[in-house]
Amino acid sequence: MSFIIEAINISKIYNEGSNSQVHALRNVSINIKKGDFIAIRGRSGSGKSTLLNVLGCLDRVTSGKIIIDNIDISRNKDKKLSLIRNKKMGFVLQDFGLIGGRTVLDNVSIPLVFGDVKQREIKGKCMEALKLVGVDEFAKKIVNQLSGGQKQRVAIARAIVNNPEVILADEPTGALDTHTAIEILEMLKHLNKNGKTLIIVSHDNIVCNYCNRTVNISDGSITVS
Amino acid sequence: MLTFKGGVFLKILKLSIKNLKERYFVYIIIALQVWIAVFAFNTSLGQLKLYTFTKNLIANSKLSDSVYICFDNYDFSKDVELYEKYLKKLINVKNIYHIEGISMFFENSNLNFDCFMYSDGLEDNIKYKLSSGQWLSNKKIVGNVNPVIIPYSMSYKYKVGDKITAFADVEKKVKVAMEVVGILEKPEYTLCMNIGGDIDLNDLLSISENTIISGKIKDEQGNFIHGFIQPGRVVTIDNLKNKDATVLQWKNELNGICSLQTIEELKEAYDIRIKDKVSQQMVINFILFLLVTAGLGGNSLLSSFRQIREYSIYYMCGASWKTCMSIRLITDLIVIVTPAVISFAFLKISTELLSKSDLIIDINNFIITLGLIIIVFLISSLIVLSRLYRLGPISIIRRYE
Repeated sequence: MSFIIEAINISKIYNEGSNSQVHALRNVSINIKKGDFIAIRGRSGSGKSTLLNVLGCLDRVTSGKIIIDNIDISRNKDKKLSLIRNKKMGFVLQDFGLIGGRTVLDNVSIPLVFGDVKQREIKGKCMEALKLVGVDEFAKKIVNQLSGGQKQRVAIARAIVNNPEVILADEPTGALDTHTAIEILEMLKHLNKNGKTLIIVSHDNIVCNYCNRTVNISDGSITVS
Repeated sequence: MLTFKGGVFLKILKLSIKNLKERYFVYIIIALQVWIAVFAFNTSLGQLKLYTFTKNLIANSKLSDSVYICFDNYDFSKDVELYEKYLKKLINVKNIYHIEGISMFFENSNLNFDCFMYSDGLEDNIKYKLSSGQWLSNKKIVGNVNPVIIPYSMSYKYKVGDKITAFADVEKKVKVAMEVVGILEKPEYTLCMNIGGDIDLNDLLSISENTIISGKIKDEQGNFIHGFIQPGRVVTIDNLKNKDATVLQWKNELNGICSLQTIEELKEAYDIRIKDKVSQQMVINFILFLLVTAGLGGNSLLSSFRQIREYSIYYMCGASWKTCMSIRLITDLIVIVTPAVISFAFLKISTELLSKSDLIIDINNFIITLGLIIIVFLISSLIVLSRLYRLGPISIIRRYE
C-alpha cells in the first residue's frame, strides 16, 4: 500500500550538542494514507507540534526519513521543501495565522502568490475557497474585523486554496468556543470526505472523536497508534 | 489582493512595495533617519577632506621648503622690482614667485572675473589637481590666445578647448583672447598671496570661485598686460643649510620691511586655526551620524520584529527562506537607497549651487555612508530572520500574535 506520508524512525533534536539540547522526537515512525483523518494527541511538550512541523516540511529531521508521495524529502533543500509546502500542504493554526491588517482575499491568496498560478486565476480560486467555507461575503473585509470562527474559516480557505492533498492543523479549535469549534470540525470532516488527508494536533477529546485514527505521543515517542 | 504576473523577482518586489505601503509611517521615519545620516556623515567627511586637502596642497607641492614673504606697508606699483633685487641680494634665493591680479570683463556681458597671472614656474611648483585638461606649463601662448585654467564652478559654462574673450580694462579697449586648457578640482583653492593680518595659509590660498589662473597674458595686439602685483612672494631657496637659524637671521634683517615665514610655520598657524573649527563641526556631524545610525538600527530591528510573523506565514504558505530574506532585503534597499540618493543629490546640488561652500561632497563618501547604513540594516534583519529560523514559523506565529 502506498502512503501519502511516511515517517521512518525520525528523530528531532534541538540545539544538538549544546547544554540546552532537547530530544523532541525519538525514533518515531508513522504512516499516513490518502484520505486519513488523524489526530496526534499528547500533553504540552510531548513533541506533537514538532511532529506536525516535520511532517509538514516546516522543519527538518535530525535523523530518519520522511517520504512524501514515495520521494524521500529528508535531505531536500529549502527550495524543494517550500514547493512541497506550497503544492501539497495546507496549514490551519490555533491562532489562525492570518495577517490581521490585510483583507480576507489578500490572506487567502498568499499560497497562490508563492505558487505558479496565473494572475487572472487567483481571485477566482480565492473566491471558490471562501465560498466553500462560507465566508465569501467577507472577501473584502479586513481580517481584524472578523470573529474567531470567521477567521478560522478564512484560515481553512487559505489552507485549501491551492488544492493540497494534506491539511495539517495545529490545535484548530483551541481559540474557539465549543459551538464554533464543532462547526470548524464539521468543516474539516467535510473536507476529509471530499478526499483531503487531515492531520490534526490536539489534546481535545472532541477533536479526536472526529478523527478516524488517533496517535498518542509522549516524550517524543509514539505510545499508541 | 496580491496578484503577480511576472517572475519571482517581480513577486518579491510587489510584496516589498505592499509591505512599504502598509507600514508607510515607520518607513517615513526610517527614510528621514537615512536622509539625516547621509547628510551628517557626508558633511563630516567633506569637512575632513577639506582639511586634509588644504594641508596637502602645500605639503605635496614643491613649495614645502619655501619661504613666504609678505611686504609691510609698501607701494608695489613703484618699487617692486627694486625690492625683489634687494631680496635676491640679501638672501641667496633660487627664485621669487609672484602673482599679479587683474579684474576682467566678459566680452558679451557686464560680468567680471578675476585673473591671477602667475609668474613663470609657480603653477608648476604647486601641482594643482585638475578635474580635466592640462597645466599651464604644458601650453604656450599661440597667436595671442592665452591658455588659462578655470575653477570647477565655471565648468558648467566652459569646457577644455573653449575660448573666452574678455576685456582687461573698464573702458573695454584692451581685448584678451583666452583658451581653457584645464579645470580645477573642487575645492577650488588657489595660491593668491593676499596680504592679511596674522599670516597663515589663508593668506596664501583663497577660494578661486570666479577666478581664472593664467601665466603672463598678451592682449589682441600681442602686448603683455600687467595687473596689480599681489604683496606676497614665495621664495624658493637653493641648498638651505641650518634652515631655522638662517630664517631667523632673515627675519631680523627684513624686520620692518616685510614679514617672513616658512611654509611650515604657515601650515602650523593654519592647523591651529582651522583644526578647531573643522574638527568641532566634524565631530558634531559624526556624533549625529552615529546617533541617527543607531536609531536606524533600532527602528529597523523593531520593524523587522513586527514583520517576523508575516514572514512566518509566507514561509508556511510556500515561500523559501531565500524568498523571505529577499522580501526583507528589497524593502530595506528601497527604504535606504531612495532617501540616501535624494539626500546625496540635495547635498551635491546645494554645494554646487552655493559656490561659497567649500565642502567636498563626493561619490566615494556617499558609497561609504550607504555601505555603513546597509550593514546596520542587514545586521538587524539577520537578527530577526535568524530568530525565525531558530524558533520555526509556527512558534513565531503563536508568539507574535
